[in-house]
Amino acid sequence: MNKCTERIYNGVVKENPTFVLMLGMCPTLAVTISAMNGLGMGLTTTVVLIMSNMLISLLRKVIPDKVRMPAFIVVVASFVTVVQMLLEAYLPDLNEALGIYIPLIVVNCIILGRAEAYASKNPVLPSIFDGVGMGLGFTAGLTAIGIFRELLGAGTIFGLHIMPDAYVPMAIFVRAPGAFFVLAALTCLQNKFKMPSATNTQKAEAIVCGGNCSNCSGSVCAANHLLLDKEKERVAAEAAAKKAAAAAAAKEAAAKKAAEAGKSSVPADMIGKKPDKEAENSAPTKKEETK
Amino acid sequence: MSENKKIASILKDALVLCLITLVAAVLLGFVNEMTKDRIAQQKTEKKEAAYREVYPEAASIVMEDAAMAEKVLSSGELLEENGFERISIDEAGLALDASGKLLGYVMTITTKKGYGGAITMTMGYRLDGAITGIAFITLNETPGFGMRANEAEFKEQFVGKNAFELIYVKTGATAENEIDAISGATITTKAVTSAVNAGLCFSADMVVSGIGGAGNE
Amino acid sequence: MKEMILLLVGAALVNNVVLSQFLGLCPFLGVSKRIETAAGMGGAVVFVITIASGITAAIYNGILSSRHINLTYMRTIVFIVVIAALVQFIEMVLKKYIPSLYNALGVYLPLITTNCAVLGIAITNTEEGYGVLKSMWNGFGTALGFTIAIIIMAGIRERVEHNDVPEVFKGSPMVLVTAGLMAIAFSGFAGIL
Repeated sequence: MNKCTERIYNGVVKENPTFVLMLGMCPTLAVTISAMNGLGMGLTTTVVLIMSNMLISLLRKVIPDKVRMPAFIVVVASFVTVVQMLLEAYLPDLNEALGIYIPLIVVNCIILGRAEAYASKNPVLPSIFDGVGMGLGFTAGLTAIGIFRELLGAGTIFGLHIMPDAYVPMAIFVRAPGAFFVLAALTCLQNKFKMPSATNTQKAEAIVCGGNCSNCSGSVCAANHLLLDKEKERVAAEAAAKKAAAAAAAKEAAAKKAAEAGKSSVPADMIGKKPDKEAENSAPTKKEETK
Repeated sequence: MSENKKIASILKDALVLCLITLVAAVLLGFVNEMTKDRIAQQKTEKKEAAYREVYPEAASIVMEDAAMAEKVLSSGELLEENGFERISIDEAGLALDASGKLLGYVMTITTKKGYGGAITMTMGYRLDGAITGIAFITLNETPGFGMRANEAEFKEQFVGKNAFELIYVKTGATAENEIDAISGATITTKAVTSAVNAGLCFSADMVVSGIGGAGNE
Repeated sequence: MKEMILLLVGAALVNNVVLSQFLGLCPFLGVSKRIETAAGMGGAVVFVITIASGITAAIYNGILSSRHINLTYMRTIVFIVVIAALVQFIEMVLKKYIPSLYNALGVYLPLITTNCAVLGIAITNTEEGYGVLKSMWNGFGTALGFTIAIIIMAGIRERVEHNDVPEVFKGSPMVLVTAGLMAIAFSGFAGIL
């Protein structure tokens, strides 16, 4: 059970799909014109995510590796259609507000990403909770952005007037450009406070779901996470390497002096350590390239 | 031998994929059967509510009328002739009073000129040429701006207007055929006003043709 | 004729797929660093979306919503599978028969498989009730809008690359601000139709 709560924590906080992994940006920007839409989209995605994670985890031993991607797509697409039909029947207003973005849940990176990165490798129960966590994280992200945009752009939250009458709504925030500006502000804050996010590592372009839609279809989630980890590692390794290099240089200098005095075994030892660090450093970059 | 194995593995992969797709299709068919009636019912309810809203005086709304159905079918040409682009009349009905006498018409109009895509609305038309009201079925405009079209303040402006063509103004409506634009949402206002004008044009044509017994009063 | 031109302008500029509908955002932000790559991506998108629009419209009008069977609810699942298969197929055909085009567009093709713009346009086409040719035309216009947007974006990014922007704005925030400004510019087209 501990593992399940860990999955939820992971989805909502540690690897929040909106704020940390920066996944599923199309719906994030498009539907967050109001808090209600954000919440609706988030919950709809959550339902699809939970169902698809469950089924893919159940079928993980049956689906052949070579055709796993089409199989995942079929599974996800069917759940999306089921959810859409249910929405149409029981929540027609929400269905209309979200419109075309409901069928587009199929191509949401989060869902296929979780299927590839987690559900296809783990047992059913943790996979379900992974879906719950990721879904709630996505919902929280969308609702937060929706509240922000609705408050600034229309002076309301969930349709209730919050701002005083004197406040003139900044219409731009509920229009298309506002979405970009809000996201820009968000990534900017993440940069400022050096928060862990897919956008402020060095490989930002390769990460933000960005550009690499071939990864999107599969393992962008995992890839993002790996890249983040590697980035940390790289920074740590770089620091260590610098230290080692500095130490080595100092030792070398000392050793040179010492060598004149006749002692030569120490520097060889120290220099031997340096390539080691370098190898460690270059290994992850090689892996990145092969991906 | 290895060639055979390869073929066998491809066949197996294809088979599994086929099975998954098949199961998915069956599941979808099943859910569709389950929700189909409910979806249809939702749509009719919504439309009926919208019709009642735009024509509160009508005791009943009759949708079946062969001549009217024909008019709706040919409405595209009529609207085009009169310069209405990307607007369509989807459906029309007769508004009758308790004794079955024709009061006017109701209709569903779709315009694709909204800021957030198509706007579908209903409108009621009294035989003397006045609008009895408008209501929205689909409205996906910007919250706080275009969405304010759905507020009573905007919609009630249309009630009782008796004009050949309405225009919107930004400086406060004074004349009979003027509508106050929603501030910051000119495109929405324009779309709604032109849809109403298309409805007026269509209704006038229905009256001229004597649909539902409009001529023999 | 007038209608066709209006449709093209509407699809390419007024309802710009990236800047007002937020579809195909990933490549727009990701592959817009250099004008050449942006143009390559744009070309591949035009190619794939035009073909995919035609094929999905044919399937929808011919099979899913034909008079005898009503399978319109299968739209999403059929479209995504068809598009995924189609992109693979186009890639193979180009590689075999038109290697020069493959060299120019090849690397971008796999990136398009799950580009939400392709599925988005296919669905929009069926919702608007367009026939095969009109769907292809609309798809072409939309993809053209994508290409225009991504090339302008790449041009701006090349220009501002060495500008002295505040430290915290470097990287993604700058790209997003640029996109926002472009969206403002494009929203000016809203009045022309």
